[in-house]
Amino acid sequence: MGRLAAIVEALRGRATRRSYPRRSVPAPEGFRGPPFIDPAACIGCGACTHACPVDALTLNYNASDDVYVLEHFIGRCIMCGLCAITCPHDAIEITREYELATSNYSELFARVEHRVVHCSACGEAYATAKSLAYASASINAPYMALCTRCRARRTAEVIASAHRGWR
Amino acid sequence: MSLDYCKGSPLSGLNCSGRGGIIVCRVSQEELLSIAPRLHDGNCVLDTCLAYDNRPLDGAFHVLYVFDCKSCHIGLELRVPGPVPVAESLTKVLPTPPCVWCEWEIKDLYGISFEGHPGKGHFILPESWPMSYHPLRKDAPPRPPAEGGASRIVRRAINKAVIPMGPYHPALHEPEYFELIVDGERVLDARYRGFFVYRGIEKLAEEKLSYDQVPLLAERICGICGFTHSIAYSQALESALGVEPPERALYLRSFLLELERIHSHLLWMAIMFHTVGFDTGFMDLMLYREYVMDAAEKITGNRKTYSMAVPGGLRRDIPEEALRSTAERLRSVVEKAVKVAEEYVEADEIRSRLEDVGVLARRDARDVTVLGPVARASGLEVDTRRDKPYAAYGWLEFNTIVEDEGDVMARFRVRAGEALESVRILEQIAREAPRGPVRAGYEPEPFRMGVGYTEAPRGENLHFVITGPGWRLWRWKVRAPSYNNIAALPLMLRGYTVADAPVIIASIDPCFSCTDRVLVVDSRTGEKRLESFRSLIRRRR
Repeated sequence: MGRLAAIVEALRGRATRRSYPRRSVPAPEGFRGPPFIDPAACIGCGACTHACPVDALTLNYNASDDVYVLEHFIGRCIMCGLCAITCPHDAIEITREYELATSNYSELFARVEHRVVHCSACGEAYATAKSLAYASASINAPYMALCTRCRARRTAEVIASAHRGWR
Repeated sequence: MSLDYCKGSPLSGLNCSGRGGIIVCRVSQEELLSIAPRLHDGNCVLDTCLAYDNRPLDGAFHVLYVFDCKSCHIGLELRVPGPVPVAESLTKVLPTPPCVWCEWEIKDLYGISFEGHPGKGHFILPESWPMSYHPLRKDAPPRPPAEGGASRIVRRAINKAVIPMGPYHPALHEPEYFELIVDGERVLDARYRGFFVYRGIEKLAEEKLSYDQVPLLAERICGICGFTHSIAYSQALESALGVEPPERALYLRSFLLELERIHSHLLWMAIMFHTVGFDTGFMDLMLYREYVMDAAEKITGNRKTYSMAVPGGLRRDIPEEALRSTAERLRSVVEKAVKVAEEYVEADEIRSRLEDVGVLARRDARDVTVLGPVARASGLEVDTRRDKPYAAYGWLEFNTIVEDEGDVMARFRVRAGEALESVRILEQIAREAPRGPVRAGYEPEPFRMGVGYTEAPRGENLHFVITGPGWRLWRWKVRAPSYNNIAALPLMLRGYTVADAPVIIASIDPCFSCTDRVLVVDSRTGEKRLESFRSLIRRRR
């Protein structure tokens, strides 16, 4: 009986193969592929780099070009989608791509370059222009043009001088 | 699942107070040696043991022996003060394989010596690893010292032919090494060496990841049933911090867990057919499984790594309509797949390879604490979903499939029955899941203990966490079901032929890579020859 059923099942001849990659097969709705970072919407705050569990996203200062670079490396990405959930500006979209293999190593990287703001006191690059504008719009704090170290120093100076006429 | 400390003296008797959770008792060495055998002979079985390095807090290591008492776990916590930690081995009074294994593991990773333990040399760590470097200690330097007394593996000389299988073995999804001691074609005994892919996942999570990121790593512990690990971890953290996930999240967790069980069981059946050399059955079942994978991809965004689990609930919701259509579709797919598979195993050529092969007696199964379908095929009525309800299983109706024969065929029937039961669960969830949020927030709290368990397709997963300062874990311990099931393999292999060995090994654990080669040593001539594993499979009885 079992043998007969097996033969019937085999003869039914269901076509289950598709001529991939000649005909492309789209991934279903909601499939989690690698993230796409919209350069226009991204402000370079770096929230996604903290959310990323595998450090596929990094934000680093490139001194030779004087820019902050947000870099996504597909080789590390596990396509969990945490970056898209975290992004405060909805600049990251999860794509439905899955054909990621390439013979060109540089294609594994996606970069977004950000203009840099320099500290008005010491000249150090300390933030991207867009993230500083974003912060300034929501909080009204003094010394926004200073880097964190100079800001702490200036605040300390003000407090000290108020207390005992420092210098 | 809650974690309670026992009140009064543990000698006065231990009982599960409510359903689920773990009761932890602090015991002295003498108490441990007298209580543990009594527990094991009573309603409980020794499940595993684990250690944590609390020297920065109270100057001592702690060893926790975990007993599975059907409706809850009981933990006996032994304090082992440093700097040279020594304890008496529980194997002196309870020499079961899980006990030998877990104490040996602790010896490797924490450097606690157990007096009277039978193990020599390294167990988890590679044999060339320095004896003085214990990676899970809190003060372990990032790199091992360059020199140090490397241990050597000690082997008994055997006057019999030995067939080594592995470390790269097609019937196992991780490299493991078996030595089959044979007389002609008969297997007399088997020895095991594993942990070739010890990845230090627990240490990685403790050092690098925050609470919400760990599920993504937990999901990658297993290449087939990863979601159940991420849920077990989430439940452990929820129990430590007292987080209550919303009801809808619990229902959806059960939904995804059952989806995973279905594809895992279908995969197992396919591999079973492949191992006995019937590739038509393999192809057919893999095709049916593909429909299940497609369903998972549609509702979670990926075939296997769902990335949905998070402490406090789930990351994303699943629309009602998707739940309904998935349950409906899978009903016909799974019914068809199981029917086809059952027709196939009726054929004499296949039945003779599965029936009365790899028998594990009920008594042995209990002593070795085998879990999941392997235990249920040997007549043990254990099912974490029913005995210690988690997620939404307390509100759902399903049967626990139990078979008494204990052979490979029984394991097949248990899994076939379970796949159908899983579909029933899916349908109930699609009907009954309440609406509402799927995620609850929580605040971290340092040094709280928690336990989480799930019934994975292969048996019970046990996760244990201690929260640390900030958003980092202090300790995360994972006990996957195969840890206990593999320990039972030598018992199953004894007395069967070499050609049965792949079938028996695959019957507990389904991954297959087809890269193995087997070295056959003929004891009479001393001649060695390499055989591909395929040719070994082709050898029929």
